[in-house]
Amino acid sequence: MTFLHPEFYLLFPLLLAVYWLIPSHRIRKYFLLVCNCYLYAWWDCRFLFLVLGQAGLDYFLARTIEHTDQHFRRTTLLLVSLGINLSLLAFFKYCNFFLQSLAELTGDHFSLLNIILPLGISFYTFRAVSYVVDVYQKRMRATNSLADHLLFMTFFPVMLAGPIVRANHLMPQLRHSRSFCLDHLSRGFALLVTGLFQKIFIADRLAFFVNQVFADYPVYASLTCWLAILAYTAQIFCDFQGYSNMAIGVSRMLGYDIPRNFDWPYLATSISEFWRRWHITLSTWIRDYIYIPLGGNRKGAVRTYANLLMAMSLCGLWHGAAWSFVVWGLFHGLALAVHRVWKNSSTGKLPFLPALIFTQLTVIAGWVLFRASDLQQAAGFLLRLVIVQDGVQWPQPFVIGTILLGILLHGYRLIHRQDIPLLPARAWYTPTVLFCMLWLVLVFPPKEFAPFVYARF
Amino acid sequence: MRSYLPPIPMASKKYPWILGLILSCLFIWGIAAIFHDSTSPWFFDRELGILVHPSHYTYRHRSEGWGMTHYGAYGIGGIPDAASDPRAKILIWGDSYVAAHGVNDQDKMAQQLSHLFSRNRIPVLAVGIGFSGASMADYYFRMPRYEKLLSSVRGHFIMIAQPDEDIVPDRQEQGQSRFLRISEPPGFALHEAHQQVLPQQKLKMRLSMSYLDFIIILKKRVANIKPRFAPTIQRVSAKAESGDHVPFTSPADEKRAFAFLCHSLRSQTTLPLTMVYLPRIPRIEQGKIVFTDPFAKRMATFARICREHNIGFLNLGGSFIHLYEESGRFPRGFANSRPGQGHLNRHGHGLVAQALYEYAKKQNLFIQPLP
Repeated sequence: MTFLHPEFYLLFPLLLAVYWLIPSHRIRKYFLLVCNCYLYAWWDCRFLFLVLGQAGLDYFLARTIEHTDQHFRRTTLLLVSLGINLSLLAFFKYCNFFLQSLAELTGDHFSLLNIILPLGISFYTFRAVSYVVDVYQKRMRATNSLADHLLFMTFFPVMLAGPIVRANHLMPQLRHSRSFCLDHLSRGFALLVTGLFQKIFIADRLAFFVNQVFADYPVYASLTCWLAILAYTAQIFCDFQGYSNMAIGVSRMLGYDIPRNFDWPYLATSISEFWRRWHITLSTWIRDYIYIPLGGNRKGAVRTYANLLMAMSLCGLWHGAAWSFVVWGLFHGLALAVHRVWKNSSTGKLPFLPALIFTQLTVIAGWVLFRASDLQQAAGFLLRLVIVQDGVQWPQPFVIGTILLGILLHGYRLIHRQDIPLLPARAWYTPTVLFCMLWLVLVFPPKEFAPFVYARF
Repeated sequence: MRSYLPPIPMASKKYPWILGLILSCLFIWGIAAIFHDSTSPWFFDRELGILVHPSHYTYRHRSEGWGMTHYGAYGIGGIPDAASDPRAKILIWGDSYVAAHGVNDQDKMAQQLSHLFSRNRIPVLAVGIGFSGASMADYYFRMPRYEKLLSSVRGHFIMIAQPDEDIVPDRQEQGQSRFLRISEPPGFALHEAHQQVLPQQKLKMRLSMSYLDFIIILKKRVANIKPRFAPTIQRVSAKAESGDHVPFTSPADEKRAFAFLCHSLRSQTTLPLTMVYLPRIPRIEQGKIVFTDPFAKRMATFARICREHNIGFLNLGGSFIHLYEESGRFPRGFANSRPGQGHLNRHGHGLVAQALYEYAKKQNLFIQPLP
């Protein structure tokens, strides 16, 4: 069950009431674990056993790693855990992609497998990997409680599309009793409503326009294509930040703190800053578990650039089983490498506005690769953006309004440095704004609901 | 990692929340009054014996285009009382394409045609009778009733905008009269209007006049939610079926249905009757502007059968393509929906009006200009 299903909004208040009425923290955790399992099984009960099995195995492997002193045995156990987790991810997510690529390469025909991608597999695999690696590297102790581990692995707010909360962030919270706090509840509600508004009122409406223009881009004028890619820039942000806000809000209502995933990425003045602001939990995961183990920047310039390219290509592949995602990752890796060269050279720093524009144009070019169905479409769309061409003009009023509003909010943020400009914590009008957003979501649903962009990863 | 939570807790006093709820209700009331579609109340018209939109009712349409339709007597949009107008009348029949909620009254095809007539000193009033989802069967039953009610009717135009629905049997919506094929030979089934619906429609009307339509729509939306609480199993989605539904078993079947349709409509009136075809061209498809009509063959058959039954046939494909080639504009679609797709926009209605005017003049269908 996701935050987009009406069933969730029928069940969650009940779940929340029962959860906080349970006096014992221990029983409350068991109740939450049952709820997690039910919400996952609601989507597909078969895959619940896969998740639980994977989590149980990681629990025992991590415990064994902790209680073993022999380096070889510890490493073997780590490799077993990584092998199982990544093999499952590879099978469910990439099997057909590899088969298809092999078929294209060899000219042979392979029949593809009918595989259903388990919900949130990319996210919970990364959570599992980070836990086992952290225990292996002695950055944290393996948990004694199987229930805590299962709760960490199936924690429903972050199950579907992150943030990729790490064990060392959530596990300590699971150990300590959570107390009911009205302020946390109201703050959580605020984030849930904000996320819902971002997803349903903004992102899904933009998605309709973006989908139409991308599908038929050769007939549209360059200006409309620019509008479409700007709309997609806003859509993907509102879609994913919307989900993250909902996840953080729901967790907050349950008394748990989840790390933030975004920090105004479209105000970044360099590509490396962009990755410090966009999908923060993924970029730090890639840094800590891929880039640094590969050698990071400790093994010379050439190796650093190669590591950047490798880490970002894997980041691209994680996003989706398609070459366009790999190229998107490579493109960002290349941009990071170029930025590093620029930073290390004596050329100096660009002023704020040119740096902002240049960075965001790079990000937007990347979004074309990310959104396009294949590389051919991406190339065609990019050409249409670069070479001014005539065609059908489609000045969609909602899209134009949203983009202008987005620019205004970013401007506001630059001046006032507030996280949510419309929702200051103590303002009397904050509940009014929240209720208004809720009304807009209910009264003006989009023509068609789109699943969360990141949920398919 | 930094916590997302702000250091200052959000106010948890109850008064801001109560005030917020009240203020937000006022906010959504105002916003919905501007940006939300109206509901469509239906009232039983005793003279016509059918359900129509009530007179003096104003319908707002915002989801596709941006239009206001002021309903007059007998469910006719844009004309306060067509029956009391002394001019000769031509009736334009159709579904939502004639109701044309996405454009304002003055831009609808009937009003633009009336304007052309008056500019050329021809005392003819064009009356658009359009109901969303209406079918040929509805026109069949309604034509004599409106002819009787609106004196001095000189002819009928019937709009065909969706050949896969409008002239094909067994495709009409519920709550409308139906063109049947299941029965052999084909026939029409009258949808009987009932007066019992009146009380709830009155409430609908009152809410609509107070710009509270969104409550009805919200209620309907909530009622449509069918929650599932039991866990389930996902299945690999099967490939979608081919969209090309063949409604006829054979060409002879098609001809028989069309002949029945034309014969029936022709038998309902002695006045000139013309079918006006609004093809879906030009349209955007798979990254191209498409100028070919996928229903060209069917419509050629239909046109031939129309002529055999002394029914005129007018195809606006050429005018639509000409508009695009001249100005780059599509006759269908709006900025807030999708260019080239959906209902006719202001330009499309203008083209239809122009084509009807020229056709009427050429065929000398109506009365001569005043001296």
